[in-house]
Amino acid sequence: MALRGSRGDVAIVGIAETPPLAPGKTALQVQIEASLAALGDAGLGLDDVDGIATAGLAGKFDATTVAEVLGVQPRWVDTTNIGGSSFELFVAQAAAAITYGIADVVLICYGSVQRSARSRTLSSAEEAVVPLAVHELPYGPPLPVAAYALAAQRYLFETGATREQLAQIAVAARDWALLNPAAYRHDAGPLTIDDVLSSAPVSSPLHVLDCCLVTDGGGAVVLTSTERARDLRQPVVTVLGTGALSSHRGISQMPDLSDTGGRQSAEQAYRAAGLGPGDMDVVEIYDSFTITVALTLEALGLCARGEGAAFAEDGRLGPGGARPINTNGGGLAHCHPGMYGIFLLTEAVMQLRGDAGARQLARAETAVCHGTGGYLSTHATVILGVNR
Amino acid sequence: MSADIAVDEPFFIVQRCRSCGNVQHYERPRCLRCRSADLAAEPASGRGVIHSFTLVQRSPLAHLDPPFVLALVRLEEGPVVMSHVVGTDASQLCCEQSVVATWRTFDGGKRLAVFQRSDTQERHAADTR
Repeated sequence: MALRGSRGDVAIVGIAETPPLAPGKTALQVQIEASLAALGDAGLGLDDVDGIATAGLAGKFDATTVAEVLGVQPRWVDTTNIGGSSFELFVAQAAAAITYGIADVVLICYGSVQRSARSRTLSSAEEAVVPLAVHELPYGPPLPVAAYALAAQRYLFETGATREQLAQIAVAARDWALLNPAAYRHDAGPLTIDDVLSSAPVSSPLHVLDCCLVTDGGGAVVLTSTERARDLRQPVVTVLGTGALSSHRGISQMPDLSDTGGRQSAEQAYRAAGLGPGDMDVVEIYDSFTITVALTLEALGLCARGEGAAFAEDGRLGPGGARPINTNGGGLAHCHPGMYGIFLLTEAVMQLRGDAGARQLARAETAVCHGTGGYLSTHATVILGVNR
Repeated sequence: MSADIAVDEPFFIVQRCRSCGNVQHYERPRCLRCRSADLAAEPASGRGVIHSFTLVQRSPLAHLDPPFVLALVRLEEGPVVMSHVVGTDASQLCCEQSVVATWRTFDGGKRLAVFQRSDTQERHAADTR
């Protein structure tokens, strides 16, 4: 789809190159040098950057790693690696982002030391020297659970919340799965708080039933223009607003262990949609762990800071509750094939279309989907609405 | 517990910004707070508090047997580092307890900067006099 009004609206304002020999340097160092130089060339500073795109470093979280080193928390990132054309792709994606207003200043960077390092297997070599590998992995944290456990332990300390309250989040997820024939736990019967507390410890205070499932699964969504959607077969579900934030890579670098970047991500989405938390009929929150839900409820403004765990009491989040969430059972009870984010979208769309069967919410005209990645590291929020 | 060797590699090296005074870890090209390039490396004192901790039941590293206490320690200079807490049962640990750094060595020469509770360390030092 052609960008409307985009021709000539986006410009390249700074450039830099680093020398063709960089002995003793890593690819990360080289692209950091280039990044700072390009910003200098543009007369811009690190505080101006709200989008970062890079590829070829460690194969995942590349832009987030560059952001963490530079001390930037971008709302727009791209780490897509499609080989050498990636950077032209980044220009196209960045131009669309800037036109659409989801980024203002995008840094696209790249670095390689394949000659000096005498290695073409770049991913594995660089993966060993990114800051996460130097400062955290030597301490043997089982990831991701240990990172979320550290957040949960601090959260319980700061808020006075209890493991029982976090367990209620898992209980609600199971109650929704009992209504979802596609859910892995559909036939497992109800879960009790005691079941969660007495499940095997994994990384304190998280036990097995505080953690998402390990299943197979896949999902997909197709997007086109709303104009075109009107000619197709399904009710028209539109994207009302989006937001995103890359906060940090390693949990030791998280600015505040009990307040996530989801807050900024959600604020962007609400502002773009012209809506607020109270307008959200359907709420689908990535539930990698019970603590993820507690923190995200707060980040989405559905409850006050520090109250996310308590909010789960009295069946509030479950079927018939005052604030239902994760109506398919979530990652805790529906499925979790490694990465769950696509299912937030598929379930939200089913609810908005009125196709959610026994778990259909009576009022389902707006939905918020919030994904969390890494170690509370990356966040993205999508607000959807339906035109019936 | 044997005394650590006197002249030693620092447990952690932090960066102090000469422009605004911010202290950060790990080292960055610019100050995270004011973006200055005027940064100086300095050894951390080794004193801090437990910012958070978790008793880990499985280990991805062959030389590190679970269970062990993984922690985030807030150095007295300000930044947070990942480490371990050794020498105290997890049930006796709490956020904000004072800790002090020490070295933990492994077969094959690997070593990690880890922490122990400050009052434990004082008791051990007293025992060895």
